[in-house]
Amino acid sequence: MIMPLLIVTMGVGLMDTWGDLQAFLIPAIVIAILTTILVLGVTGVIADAIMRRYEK
Amino acid sequence: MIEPWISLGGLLVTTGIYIVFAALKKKYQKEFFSPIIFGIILTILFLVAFGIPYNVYNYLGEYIGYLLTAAITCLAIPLYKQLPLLKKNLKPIILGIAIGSTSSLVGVYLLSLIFGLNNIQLVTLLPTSVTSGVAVEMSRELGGIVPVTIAVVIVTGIFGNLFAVPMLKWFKIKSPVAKGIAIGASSHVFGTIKAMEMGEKEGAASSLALVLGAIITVIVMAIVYLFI
Repeated sequence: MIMPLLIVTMGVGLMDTWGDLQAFLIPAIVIAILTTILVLGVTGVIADAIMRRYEK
Repeated sequence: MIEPWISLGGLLVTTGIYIVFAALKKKYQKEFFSPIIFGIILTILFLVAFGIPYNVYNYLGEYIGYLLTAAITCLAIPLYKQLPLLKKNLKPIILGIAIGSTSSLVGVYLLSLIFGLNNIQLVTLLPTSVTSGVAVEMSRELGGIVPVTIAVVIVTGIFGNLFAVPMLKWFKIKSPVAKGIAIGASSHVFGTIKAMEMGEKEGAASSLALVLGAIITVIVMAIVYLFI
């Protein structure tokens, strides 16, 4: 439980970077989210596919 | 010296909010009551309402940072226990992470073009999938806005932590090792915490991806840099 709590205290730091972030807030968040989906998908699908080929 | 006490009070408030929402989430079985999201939003509202700046709230944060560092070291234990499994799947792991980390850089680059961001904004966002320590150095080296990089890394991590499970289902990723490295490569430490909750195999694979992903990203960046 201590580690998720650390995420929160770091996340609160967003209040300080708000000014700099505001200039491109929407693109920054959209890019962060889309990239996360992309990387998760690419990494997982490739690893899963290679593993399945090996097992056969 | 009143700062440590204000800081301690603030951290207790955060802990209280976290515990309340963790209990609500458990009771109603609703993802909506995310202790992380509500913890951040309500703590910020609390600090703003009482006029407490973040650096005062985070006065003890340095020590919490030590705890996080120590906690990250603990990730090595499942990694060690799962070593035979990871060794057996070395090829899919390395290829998956290498292509995944590269896709992160390409993805940020293309999306920045679409959004018409300038060069400084691009390099600020570039390390988004990398763990914060490495991301900060990368952003500084490339001339990015470091605090914003930290913010974006946190947003990525929180998103990964919250939505890893539905995303894995969506992409039909089955094996625990593939799940783990997908989480670790896309959402670093925060994601890895989720992977740990899912199981030891997932957690071990995720920690490995967290480290290898950072190394591979730096290497790819260095190679790209040589050619521009």
